[in-house]
Amino acid sequence: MMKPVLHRWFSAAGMALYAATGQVGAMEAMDDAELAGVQGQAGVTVEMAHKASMDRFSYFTNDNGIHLEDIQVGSASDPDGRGRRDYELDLLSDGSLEIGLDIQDERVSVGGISLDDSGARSMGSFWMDRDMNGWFRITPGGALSEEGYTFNSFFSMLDSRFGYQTNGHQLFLDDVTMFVNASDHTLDVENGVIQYVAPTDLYLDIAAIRYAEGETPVRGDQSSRPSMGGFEIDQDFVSEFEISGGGGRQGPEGIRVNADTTLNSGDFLYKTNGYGVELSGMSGSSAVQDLRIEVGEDFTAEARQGLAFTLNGDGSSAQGSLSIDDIRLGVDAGSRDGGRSIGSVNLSWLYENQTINGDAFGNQVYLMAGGHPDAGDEGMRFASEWSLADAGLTWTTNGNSVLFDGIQSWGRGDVTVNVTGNEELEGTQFYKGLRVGFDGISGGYRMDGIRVGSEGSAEGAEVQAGAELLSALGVFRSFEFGNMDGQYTLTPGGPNGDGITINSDLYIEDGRIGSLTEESGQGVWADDLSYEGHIRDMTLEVVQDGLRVVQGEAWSTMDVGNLRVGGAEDGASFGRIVWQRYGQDSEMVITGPEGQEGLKLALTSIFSEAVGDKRNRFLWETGRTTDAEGNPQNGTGMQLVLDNIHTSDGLGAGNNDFGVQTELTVDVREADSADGMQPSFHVNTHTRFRELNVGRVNLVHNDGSGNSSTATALQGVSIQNMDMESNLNATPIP
Amino acid sequence: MAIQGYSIRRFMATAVVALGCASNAVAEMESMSDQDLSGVSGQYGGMSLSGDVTFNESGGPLKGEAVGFDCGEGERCGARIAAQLNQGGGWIVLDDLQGTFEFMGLTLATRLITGDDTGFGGDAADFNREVIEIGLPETARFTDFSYTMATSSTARPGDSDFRQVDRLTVEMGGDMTLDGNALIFPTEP
Repeated sequence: MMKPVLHRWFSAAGMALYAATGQVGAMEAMDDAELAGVQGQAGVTVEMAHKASMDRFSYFTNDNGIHLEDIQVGSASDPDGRGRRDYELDLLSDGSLEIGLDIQDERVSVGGISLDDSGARSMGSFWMDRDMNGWFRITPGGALSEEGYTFNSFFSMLDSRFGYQTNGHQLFLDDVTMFVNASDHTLDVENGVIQYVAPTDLYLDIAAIRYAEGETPVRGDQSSRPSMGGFEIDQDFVSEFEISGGGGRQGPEGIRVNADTTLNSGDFLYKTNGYGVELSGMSGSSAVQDLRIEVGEDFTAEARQGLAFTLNGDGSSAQGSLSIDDIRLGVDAGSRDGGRSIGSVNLSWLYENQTINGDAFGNQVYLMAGGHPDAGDEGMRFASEWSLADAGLTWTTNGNSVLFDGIQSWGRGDVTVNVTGNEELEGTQFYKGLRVGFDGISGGYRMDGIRVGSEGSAEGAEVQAGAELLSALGVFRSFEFGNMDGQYTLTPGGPNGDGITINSDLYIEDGRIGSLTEESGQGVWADDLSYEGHIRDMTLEVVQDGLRVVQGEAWSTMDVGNLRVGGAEDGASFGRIVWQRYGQDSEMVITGPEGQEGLKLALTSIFSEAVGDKRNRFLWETGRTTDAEGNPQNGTGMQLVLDNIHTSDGLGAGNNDFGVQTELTVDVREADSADGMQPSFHVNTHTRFRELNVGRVNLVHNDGSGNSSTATALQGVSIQNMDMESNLNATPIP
Repeated sequence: MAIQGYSIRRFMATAVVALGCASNAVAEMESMSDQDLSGVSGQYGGMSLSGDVTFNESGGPLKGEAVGFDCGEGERCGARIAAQLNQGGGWIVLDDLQGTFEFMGLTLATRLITGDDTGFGGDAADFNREVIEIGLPETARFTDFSYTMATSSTARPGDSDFRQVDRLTVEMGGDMTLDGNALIFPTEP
């Protein structure tokens, strides 16, 4: 059938919507020459109503296979229906083949992904529902020779959906809009290497992320289900790929990839209930060298099979930089107006092989079937090793900068991913939502210190301490751990509609936190650290001018076996410190100071009265006896115990809503110091509480043979009406 | 995790500072000689802190609630710390704490003391270990800084049967020159 080209109308409709988003700058209009090329041409129209299935699709390297099973194509709305595809093919006067496409109501699904050794396990099922139209043009001649090809394409996806399901629980990106404008992509093959250059404009709007139960992927309107909020991403980038065969790390078969990407411009928005966190004016670059992809055996003694992405060869590296001109919290999600700025950030990174504490680390991920073993057969497991050899983070507020310099990170272990429900299975409690689990992870990070200067000069400033002032925010000079297990489960829905509800459990063993650390290795160390923490029903949402986090119930125990000064392992010790925490409805609002750039946190910490073993308790133990190896034995020394620490509203009514309220403001500013005016790292803390009580202060004597005696030193302590404000400016020691 | 994290980590910082203060009373005070100072240069772990701490500048969170913190003439306006020594007994109180303490050039670092160090009455070789060194700020200023030591029948001034005897009131103002370092020695192996 011959008829005039109509598919331009498909893409014109998409283009109009694309322009209407107002988010994308560069648009490819068809010029007169292109239109002239179209005029008078005739093509072929193919109209399809289709339904198809494939039992299995496999990819093998070195005799190891990964298998996509139960692949189905059909209707998104009707389980028995067919998807619709219209194609229009035209040959243009310059020899280009142009394909117009219009896909309506199509669902593509993969029932499971497994590897040869997966047994009954599967990675879970994936599906995509889409309405998509646009055009695609192939022109002979690439960037390097006439034998290559040039591609131009524009397509839009509207009202689409992407889902992931494990064990009857599904999480899906809902109401997805995407525009892709690919102009002059070139494909060449040179000396057996595929060279692909891809300048691309991308706009992606994920309106909602929702959860549903059921073995069958959802169909139809799902807008009544709670949402985690939405994302908008707008990017203009150029990626250049070199792809070759030539073998993986474990045999002659596999894919080798080098990839360079330049991000010309980008914006990012996370939004809930009409407010957003916006990262604007992003630009940067990334270079990946010698990434290899194959199906192979992982780095553990079990040699488990996985789809391997390895960046751990002698010449392997991933390095890059990212500049974010402005980070604003609590903007109007539609107009992007308002909100508070926390300043601008520049990041740089280099991932490559390194040796830490005598142990060699590289960068590699093995994707396996099966997540948490108790959740069911379906899920994903990422056996991972990472090695960040050098990174820097520069944060600029009001024309002054702080550089967190010489950051290294390393580690290895398994991360599991499941979609789970509210149920106990095989003795493990699961929660509704996307569960990210940590299974036997060891690792850590450390930094040289900070450098403070006016914008653009921080790199040349003297390195100093000061990150210690951010320990309240979880920023340490160094933190490492021998083992971490636990989970975070993210559930759609917050306290006011869109938002994220979080349940988590975390267990850390053999940890160590460092502060005031020196190049020589001496410092102050919270050593032999173990930690157990639990959070129930914590919610996160974007609100006007900020990001709000409210804990439901949280309890934790941190046990520092030795607080050392000097060497991390052999420094002399102040003894052991144990800190138990228990609170309900504590709150944190992250925002920027009004009228200027900086980071401001409003924290409300409710210290609840003891309930069973959940309590606020501080213990300091010294004089412990040691075992044959000279290690002090906990519970054998003299202990000072501050028990049942709790806040109160102080009016005798038993209310406990005020808590300890702290406003913490951090920025970089010129300040008076012992060396005169100079740029400094500034932390303002304003703490208020109505009443903070210590139920009892006890002295506990242990005789080393399991017997203990307790003497009460203070029957109670009550601190009332506290309003304390401090300003600290950190500069190098003159 | 965020709240869980920040509260724990804040504890760590607090613990270090609290221990520092607790140990301060027994730490040796020594001036650093030029030789000592020359040994310090080149370290990058430490920091110099300048700033201020203010207590109850405009009253506290209980102000205006008729529970004894109303900031009127002759009334309590500052913070109150009460401790009970004996069950059923009275309370010893540090009351009406308020005012500002400013300082410039307080340094915080770790330091290795060896036999090469002078100024410890010849004992440096016996120490032979790292210590936390707090370099006292050269200049410090108290502004309207005051507190009252008292004994009281109840923890709260708003409680029934509240009776209090003020024993001592301290008011501080003006500049101080502080010189030297506080060295905090860990004592466990």
